Amino acid sequence: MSALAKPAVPLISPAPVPAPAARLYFVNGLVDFLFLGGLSLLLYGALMVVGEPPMSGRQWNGGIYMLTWICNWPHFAATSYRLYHSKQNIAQYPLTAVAVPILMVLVAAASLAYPAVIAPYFMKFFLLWSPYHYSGQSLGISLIYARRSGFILGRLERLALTLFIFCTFLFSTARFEAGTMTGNYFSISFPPFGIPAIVPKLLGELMYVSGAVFIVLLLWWAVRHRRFFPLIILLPAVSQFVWFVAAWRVKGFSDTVPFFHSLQYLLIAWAMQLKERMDENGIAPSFRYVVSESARWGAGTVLLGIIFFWVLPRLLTFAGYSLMLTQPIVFGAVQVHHFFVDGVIWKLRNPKVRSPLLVNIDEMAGRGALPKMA
Amino acid sequence: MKRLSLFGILWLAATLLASDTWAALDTVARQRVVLRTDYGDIVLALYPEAAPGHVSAFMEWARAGIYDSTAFSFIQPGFLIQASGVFDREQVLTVDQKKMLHSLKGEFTSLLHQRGVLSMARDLDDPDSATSSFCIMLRDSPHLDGKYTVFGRVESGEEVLKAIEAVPIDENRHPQKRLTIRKAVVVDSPEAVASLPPVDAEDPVHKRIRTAGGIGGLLVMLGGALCLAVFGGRSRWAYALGMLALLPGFIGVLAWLMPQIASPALSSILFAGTIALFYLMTRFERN
Repeated sequence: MSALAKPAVPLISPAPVPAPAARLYFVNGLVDFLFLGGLSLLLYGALMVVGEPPMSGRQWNGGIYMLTWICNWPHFAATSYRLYHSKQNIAQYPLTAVAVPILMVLVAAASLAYPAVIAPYFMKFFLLWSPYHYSGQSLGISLIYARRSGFILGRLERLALTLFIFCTFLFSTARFEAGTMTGNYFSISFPPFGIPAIVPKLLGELMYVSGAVFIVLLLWWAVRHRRFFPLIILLPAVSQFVWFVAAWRVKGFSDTVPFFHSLQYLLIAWAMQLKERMDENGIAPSFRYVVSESARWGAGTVLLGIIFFWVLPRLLTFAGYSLMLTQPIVFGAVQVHHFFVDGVIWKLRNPKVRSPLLVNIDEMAGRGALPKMA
Repeated sequence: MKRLSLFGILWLAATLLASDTWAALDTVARQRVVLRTDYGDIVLALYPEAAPGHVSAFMEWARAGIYDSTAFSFIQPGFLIQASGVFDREQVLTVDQKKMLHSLKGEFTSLLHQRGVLSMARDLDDPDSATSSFCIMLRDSPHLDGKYTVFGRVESGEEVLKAIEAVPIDENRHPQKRLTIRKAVVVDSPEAVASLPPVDAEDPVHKRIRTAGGIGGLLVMLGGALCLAVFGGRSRWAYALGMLALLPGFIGVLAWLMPQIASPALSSILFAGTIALFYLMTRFERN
């Protein structure tokens, strides 16, 4: 089988593989629920009830900005840390590790040199890629939980779920692209594509149809196997629907979406980091290890995030560029690099990735049996 | 009789005072602001007596080019058209331009919201939240009187207003084609309006860079595609570099084509191509 070949997947999902209940979650039901989108659903519900954030716009935005320091920026940094912290990873992904940063430096330099000509289209490109990347992550998390629960999605179910998740992004994006308003990122404005108004309508219909088909297939599976599927498999897709579609007009919500996306990522990257480091260094499971490694990794990603998103844009101002220009361009370059890296390092079909993604925190804290590294 | 005379004098004085106030409020400044749109020029006369803060800021912002490349982005036929100000601007605001922007304290007067009147937009719940967005009234709207700042009126360009009002809109009342205000020009007198030169669509230097970037981008993309087709199957590096070349090439093509796209079909192809590129980029490194 070639490296790119996919394992055979049945059209309809086969019978479930019994799995211990504790292994379904990285931490436990509540923590996983909150991190993987539950918190965003609670906020959405609260904002629907009260109508708008119960504070001034300045306070709300200030709060969100604080969260970017401890969650959004570290989530980007965690990717870079994961790729660059070992020579083995760099050797395994030399193009992602070397060629992509060079390419990003070149694109950022061209954007700085021509802020009215190149920068708007780089921003447009990166801001379109961002929700696409969110969709990929939502799908990936659903698949992780399906695997953890022993519920292997068949081809039809997977197709319906993929279509639904990606259509939430395509629908909301196409809605903007069919309009005439320019988009803005910091001080950089960019125009919409100006696609026909029928496109978002069709994508919206496809989204609802694929979502309904997925639910019907899951219910059919539950009836056939007399077992209800774990609801957490649906959580990323439902959250994504709320982020991009349902909460579109809810005042103050859309600004929080990057935070919730980062929260999803950090939970899984954290568990992955604990397991990988344990295996690489032959560390015995213990609560002390979990705490010390979490603190080390957490502090490192916060620091690296600050270097990427706070220090770097300010350093570039010494070259004579305005911070209003360096910030969006550096943010765009770092994030596109993150999209590239995420596209290659989280392949579930790679056993070295799959195995740590099945751990539970209790096992690493010495309170359960650890799965073997493949 | 004496009392009656005194009342008459007071009444006369009050009337004169009131009429004088009315006259003062709609006194127009000598300068004119000309909004240069794709449909033609709209000439604005401003009321410095009624709204000194608004008029001063509006002229300062227009002189600084803040309204250039903004748009009329909200149309309610038979009611108003709204210019979005800096919220819908094609060009990057400079640091100096950004520094100039500030909220305006409401200057509510007895001037009426009638067709052609300029009224500053603001948040519903904050009378002092107006910034650069403003409306041109298309009919008399007494429910807005005294609640929104009237700071001028359209002096000429009625046919442009009619043309803008006739542009098809979507369900959110956004026009279905972009109604760009290419430039907002301040002239010193009404007579100077006639001598304004035709407005250029784009800086010619930018246009040259854009074209060069677009053609270069296209060549890079073709090179990348060729690399993929010829060597992609044999070499991991050639495959990855071919894929990577598509990205900067595509950004160059976007920068070239997007400002001049008029065809919805071509727009749709570019949009679909962008999404397809994201898919390819997550598969560029084989291992």
